[in-house]
Amino acid sequence: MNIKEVIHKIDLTLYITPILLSVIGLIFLHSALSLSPEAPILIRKQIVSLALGIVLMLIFSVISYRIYSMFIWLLYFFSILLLLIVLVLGVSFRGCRGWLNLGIFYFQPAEIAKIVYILLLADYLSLWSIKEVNNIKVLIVPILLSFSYLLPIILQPDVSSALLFFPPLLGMLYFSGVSVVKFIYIFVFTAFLLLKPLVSCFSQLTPSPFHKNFLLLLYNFLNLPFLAKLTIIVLFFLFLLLLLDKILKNSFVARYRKHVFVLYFVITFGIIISCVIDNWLKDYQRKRLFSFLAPELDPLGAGYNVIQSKIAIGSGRIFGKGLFQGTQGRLGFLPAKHSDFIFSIIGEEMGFCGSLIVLILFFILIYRVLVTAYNARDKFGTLISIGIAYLLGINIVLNIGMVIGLLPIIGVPLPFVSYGGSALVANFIMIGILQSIYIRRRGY
Amino acid sequence: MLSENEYHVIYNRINSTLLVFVLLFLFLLANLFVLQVLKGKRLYYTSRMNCTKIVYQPAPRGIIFDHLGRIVADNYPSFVLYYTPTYEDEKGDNSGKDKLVADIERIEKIINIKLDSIKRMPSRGAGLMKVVDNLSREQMFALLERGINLRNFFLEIEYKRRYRYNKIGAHILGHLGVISKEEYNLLRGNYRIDSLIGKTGVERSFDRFLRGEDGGFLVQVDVYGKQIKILDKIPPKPGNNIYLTIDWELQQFIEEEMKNLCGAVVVMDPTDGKVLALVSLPSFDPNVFVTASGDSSIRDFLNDPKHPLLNRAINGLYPPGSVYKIITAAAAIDSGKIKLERQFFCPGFFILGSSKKIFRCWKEEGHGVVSFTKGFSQSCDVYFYNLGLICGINLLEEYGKKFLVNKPLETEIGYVQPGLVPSERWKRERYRSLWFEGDTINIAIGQGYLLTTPMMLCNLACMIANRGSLYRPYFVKKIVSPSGMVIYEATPKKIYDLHLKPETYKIIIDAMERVVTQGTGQACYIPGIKVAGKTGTAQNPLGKDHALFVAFAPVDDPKIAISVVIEHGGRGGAVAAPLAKKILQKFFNVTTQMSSSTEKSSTFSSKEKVDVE
Repeated sequence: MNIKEVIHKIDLTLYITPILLSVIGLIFLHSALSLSPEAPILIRKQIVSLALGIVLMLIFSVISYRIYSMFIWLLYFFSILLLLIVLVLGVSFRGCRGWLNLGIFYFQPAEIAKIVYILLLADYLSLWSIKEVNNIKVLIVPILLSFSYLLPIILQPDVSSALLFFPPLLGMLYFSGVSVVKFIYIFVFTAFLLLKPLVSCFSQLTPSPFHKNFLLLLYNFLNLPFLAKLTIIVLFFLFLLLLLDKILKNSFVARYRKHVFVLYFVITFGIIISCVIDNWLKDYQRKRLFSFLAPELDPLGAGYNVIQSKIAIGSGRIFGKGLFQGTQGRLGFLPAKHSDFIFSIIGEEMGFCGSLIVLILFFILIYRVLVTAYNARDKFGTLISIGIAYLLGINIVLNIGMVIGLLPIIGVPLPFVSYGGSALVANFIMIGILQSIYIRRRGY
Repeated sequence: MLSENEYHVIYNRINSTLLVFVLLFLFLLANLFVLQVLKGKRLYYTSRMNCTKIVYQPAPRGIIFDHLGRIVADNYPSFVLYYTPTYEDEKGDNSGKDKLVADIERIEKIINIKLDSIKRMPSRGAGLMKVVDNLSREQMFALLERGINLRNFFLEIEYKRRYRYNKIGAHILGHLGVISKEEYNLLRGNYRIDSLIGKTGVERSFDRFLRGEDGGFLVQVDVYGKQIKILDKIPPKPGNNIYLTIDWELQQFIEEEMKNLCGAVVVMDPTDGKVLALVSLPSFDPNVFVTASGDSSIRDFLNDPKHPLLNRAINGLYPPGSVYKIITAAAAIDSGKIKLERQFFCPGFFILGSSKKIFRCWKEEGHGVVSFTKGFSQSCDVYFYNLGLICGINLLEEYGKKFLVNKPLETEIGYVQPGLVPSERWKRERYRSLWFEGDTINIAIGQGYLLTTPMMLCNLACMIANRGSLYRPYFVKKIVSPSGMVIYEATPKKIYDLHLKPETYKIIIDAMERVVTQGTGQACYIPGIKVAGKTGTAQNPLGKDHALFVAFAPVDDPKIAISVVIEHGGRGGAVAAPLAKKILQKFFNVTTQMSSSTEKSSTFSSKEKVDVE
């Protein structure tokens, strides 16, 4: 094969974009850490990870992705094993026991677990056609698999990594043909999951009298003991039954009766689980919710990160303060500036132009992933691509959303740009796998 | 391979996924636009505020001059030593701190001052900071000579307030103090929590003009407050300069003449309200409020039973004594209740009507037959007892208020306390008792419940001198910016008129002139100058009587009005009047010399120039 053929065969953009983003990450990492003594070590580590990532990316491009199908259960057990080992032998960092010390560097099994998870789901879901997949007996497997991964990760505790397992799951389910209605149920369920924590947070703020009345009612209801709530819910359900049967005999409504009931169950189930979650919610997580709703109320405590991040990004204006001349990041006003909040540094030093360029690069990346999905030879490849698209895409949206203040602080890094060896390497492996799918696409 | 149907679904769902991501990214972009472009400017300044800090240099206060341009209050340079760490010094270990301690110890040896608090400062948080201030010139030079290797230290000049004449005129100028919480909340703006602000007098009323704008160093700091570099130095802007109406030479003269006395003197120009001198004794030295070592002196002033910080001229309330007879006379004459020729007999005492109570005249033997002329010039109490009965308390009250005895007044050095003009209603409300005629006749001679301030007594003299008009008393002639631009120039303002009959004025003024030529005020007689005055002796239950005197001169073309109050001075004619004479002599001495150099004065005869030496 000559060069021309090689270039036609591979997706060069798919290689270049992540490398470009990583280089940008390195530049701003250097800027962010320029005034702290540990800078050279971290930058060196990141460069090594980048090099390793690129090498692995090339290797994984060559390996045919279909091999994973054969060893999938081996990979699954191996990844679960690592996750369990890290709970026992792992090193704690920022309160989370998620790293294994391998001598020269630290390794985060959760990152590898994400890759195996996507491969696993893709392999399983590719067995079913669209009609078949809407069966609960089929869907139970992905749900169980998800729990088997989520549990050890939440025990670390690393809620942010756990959170990232949901986008690929939902994406791949959507993609394999699960009906949209079910997604609405899931969406409604998740929305109501946060009801109780949000209400408790709101009750600590001082709302206007109108809100107070409604919220007070809701708050009191949610605080009732379990049996009382259950009774009320069942009674209300019976009332609903009556309403739909006797009064609304209209056939139009009757058709959607089943959906109404399912929705009712989904909502109440969500509310109950949200009360459970609220009990488990740790103080710092509550604070994050609080600081999301009203960061100004605790500017030096819970709201500090998001306020400083907004100041950093906003103060960049259109053209930024100039490379290496930011003040919010370099002078220490922004915590975690090299990892989760790296985008704030970019926003501060390169302004709106910089943010725009980075967003465009990310979009190009996601676009190429979706092109791979479109052109893949088989369902397996398509599903893997979709999973990776959702994983990376939602990851990006969550990080930037958090950094701007649109979402509560979730603790997810920015792919390729943030500092973090394991994540960088894992992301490049995913690119390699994607390339492998692309090379073997339809028509080739 | 996939079926046709599946293919469509996949295609659609990939498109919808792409759409979802497009929408999400656009949403992010829109929010970024809001943050960076729309709110960018405000957030930029917030970020700047985060990382910059100002180390202040106080501005030199405006200079205060007297009316001739003599410097009365200015600033003296004081040297301040600053410490500024460079970033390389802070290596996270203690080497930076040790070096700092070693340097401080060297400095201590050179300037002979202990700097313990600085040595104990934690190194981590150290930024640009003041090490020691109030260094003398010698100490500064010693540091410069022997401290060449101290590269983290540098010297700056700062200015401290200095009152050149110490206690003289202290109540006019006022003093400085650290701003209080109430003042800070009220004033905001240019003030900081540790600002020095004028507390009394001109320093207070014109603080906004005098204080200038503090400058300082703009320092870039990190989140710990640690200094990264000095971004900018903003020089302080000096305050505006104030020219007073006061004649400082006269002021000094009066205070020296009254050296061991307690009391007040107010000297004004009746034609426009200019205050030429204002004395309140005992006085205090405002310099002690500026130096750190002055704290004990301040406490002494506060604890002194003679209250040197009290401005007796505007806040001291005294019974006016016989000076009030001017008002009683004006009441009787202006209302037509008395004819000048009417005579009364003074045997040295007076028996009040039905109660048969005896009221004495100051002259034991009595004055004999008295009409208005003699009664006024000799200050016969019995004459005025009669006058008081004829007028009645209501008329006396009316004229007391007409002469503004109980009117408060806001002046540039502070609030003049309102006096007290008693009345039937007042006594009923205050003491729940009836008004007696005995009270009336006491009021007629200026005793009893009457109270007024020396400032208002001087205003009284001004009003008579001007045949009715009163001009607003003012102390500040003009305010000039440091660059020479005149910001404010005082214009005399007429604020009141007595509206008495013209004959009344003539009668009163003639009578007051006779007081000085023939009556109780002869101690104030100056040959060649027509002086009008009235003595007063206020009975004081706590000790000797207060001595009072008011006067103005020359009668035909008044240029000066004085009020003198000497606490426990004894008799007005004996103690207060001679002082007034000295003041007038001093005043006309200057005037005569000035007018002789510019023009031939027709007001004074040539014999004058020899006499008043």
